[in-house]
Amino acid sequence: MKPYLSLLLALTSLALCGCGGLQGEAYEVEQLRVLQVIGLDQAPGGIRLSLAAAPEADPSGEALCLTADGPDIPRALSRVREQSTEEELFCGHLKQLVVGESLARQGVEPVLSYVARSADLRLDMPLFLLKDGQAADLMAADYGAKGVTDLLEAAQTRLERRRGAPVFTVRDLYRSLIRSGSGAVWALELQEAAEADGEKPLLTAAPVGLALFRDQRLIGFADMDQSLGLCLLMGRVGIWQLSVRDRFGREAVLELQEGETALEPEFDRDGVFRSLKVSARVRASVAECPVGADPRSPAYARELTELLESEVSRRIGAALALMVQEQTDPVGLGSRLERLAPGKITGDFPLPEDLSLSVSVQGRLENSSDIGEAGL
Amino acid sequence: MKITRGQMTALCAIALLSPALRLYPSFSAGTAGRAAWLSALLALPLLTVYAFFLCRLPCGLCELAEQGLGRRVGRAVELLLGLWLILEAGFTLRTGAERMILALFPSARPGLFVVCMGFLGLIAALGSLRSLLRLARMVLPLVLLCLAPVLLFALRGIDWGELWPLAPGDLPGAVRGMYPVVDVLSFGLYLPWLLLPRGLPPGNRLRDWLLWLGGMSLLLLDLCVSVLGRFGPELTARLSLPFFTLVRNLVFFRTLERLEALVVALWIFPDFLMTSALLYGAQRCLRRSLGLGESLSLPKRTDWTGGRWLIPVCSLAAVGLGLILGPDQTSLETWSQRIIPVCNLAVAFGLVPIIYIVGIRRKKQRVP
Repeated sequence: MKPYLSLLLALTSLALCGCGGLQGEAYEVEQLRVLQVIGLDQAPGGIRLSLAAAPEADPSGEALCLTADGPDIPRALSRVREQSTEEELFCGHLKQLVVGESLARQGVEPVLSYVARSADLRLDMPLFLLKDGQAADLMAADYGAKGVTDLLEAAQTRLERRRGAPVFTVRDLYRSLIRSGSGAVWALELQEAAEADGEKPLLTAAPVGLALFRDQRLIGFADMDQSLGLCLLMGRVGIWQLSVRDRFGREAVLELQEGETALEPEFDRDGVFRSLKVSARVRASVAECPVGADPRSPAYARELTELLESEVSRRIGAALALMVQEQTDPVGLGSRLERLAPGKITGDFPLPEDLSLSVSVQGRLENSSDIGEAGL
Repeated sequence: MKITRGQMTALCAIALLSPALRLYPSFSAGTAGRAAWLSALLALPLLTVYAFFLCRLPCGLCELAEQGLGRRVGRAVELLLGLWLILEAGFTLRTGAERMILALFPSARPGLFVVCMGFLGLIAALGSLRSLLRLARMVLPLVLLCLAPVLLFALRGIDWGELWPLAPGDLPGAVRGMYPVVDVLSFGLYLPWLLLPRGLPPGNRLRDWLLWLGGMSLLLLDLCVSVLGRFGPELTARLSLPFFTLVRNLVFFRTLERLEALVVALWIFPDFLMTSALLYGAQRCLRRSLGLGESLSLPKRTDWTGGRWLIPVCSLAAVGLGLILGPDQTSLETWSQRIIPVCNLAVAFGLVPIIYIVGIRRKKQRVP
């Protein structure tokens, strides 16, 4: 009886984990084509879904990119699967999601909720938006020996070079959109690569600023200056290079290492939110010093610090102005203010248009990485 | 049949991992927001009082009902308890299948999972309770050993701003968020009084229960902090199985990822032990209710005497319920959020105290 029962139990357990193929989901590793990037666009009557694998995953060295349209994401995905006749497409290791601008303008809620529900996709997957284009174009473009996966990974690595730098994931955007109706992700743009040679220029995708969302829809873009201000307001800066000109008009490059902001809301006698003081503290080093200048001299260091403070102040001001203009809060300013003044401010508000804004910045320059005049 | 308190608390701990993730922390996050993690702590005083009350019960609930309420009413209560346990078993089968579908096999249907687990539960319920308890004692360290690194890694990437600061206005929400915690833990507390004639084996029962409560609350607290800190309360409230979503997103040492299949597979143990314990409890209540007697000796699995034929009947009923309960997501949510918790809380804080109070008044309690 016991061997009989043990056999029955083993068979039943096999059915539970799917190893026996009873669920039809068991495949050999050689049969799987591991996909790394998923792209979503608006298509006539639905969604255009593109999937890309790394070039090294193919024996021929060519990057696989499959695209299909469907009325919704699951049906578009099943049509893409039908295109692959020889191998089973494996979506469990998708690393990046790219959304085309037109789809983002229509609304990203269906995309985000699909990722949240999917058993394959991950909420921690970095999400990029392709400005002025379709994700399918980005994924099918010719990048020479490299594929779109390498390109996006390079962009991601550049953004997250330091812990705390912002690479916005599906989770970040979804959480922010649910909370305040606003959010932001990095926008990429297809550009010609600097090292392009030969007749056919190679392409690359570079971050060009933050894409801003309100009410689940893309409403506009922040340029790189405004994006730095937004990142500072989020407290997620990472390494950022700032170019400044000293009083002789010479260019110096400062590398922003850290930054944080403190908020101080002020109310009038009636309890109306009238003004907002933003105090920022930033730390930077001198990445490149002009010829003839000595960054170790106290006077020049003081001048560079003032320039740093001025530049950071300008960017934070530009970011706040953009938030007021677009009536969006992608940095969660509302939640921070709500915590500072509970009951007086609710977290889901846009900044009032008549709000008086003041920005003060305290900068610190240290660890110059330039050898300066004395080293020559 | 020697059963120790350690074995019984191990069974209650591991079996409750199955319902623990059904509502918690998504329900609490929906009601309490950022303060959801407080719910596990706030529930402790109430559950401590309940544990203290249960430790005063002189015998199992079936015995107490028969002695305190009289034979006829007592048997009706036993019938009610038996039916409740079958319903809970069916619901456990259905939610276990739903977990497999949501986390691993999105295109599968629940029937196969329900039937397989129901069959496994039947085999276990046909055996002795002690085997089940020994299995729980063996499996608990294994499950905790696997859970510990997952929860530790999950704590690494959390945003404390999602959990703190709290305002006094968050307290009412946190109190409402106690609902799933009290539901799950109270069931674990009274389960031994349905499975054994004397409830939790005698000795320092209160100390063991308090240790159990402390451990379970810490586990739920860690789970809630990990999930809330990563997804935030609003997104957590929208996720069906936030813990498994969290596991899917974990990357260990930047190399090891996609371990959710292993973790979900680990939850087969809680499902199996919960289903088996419920089927065992159900057949016990029904056999007493129908006057078919109860054998405490080690039976053969093919022995159908003394009303043991009720075991496959209970199992079939549970599988049948598992197949028809919650045919769609909305209906399953209604069962999960309202019907089952309300029934459980009615039994825990209504029926059980009534049996005790009426029994005391009639001064008929006798230790069998």
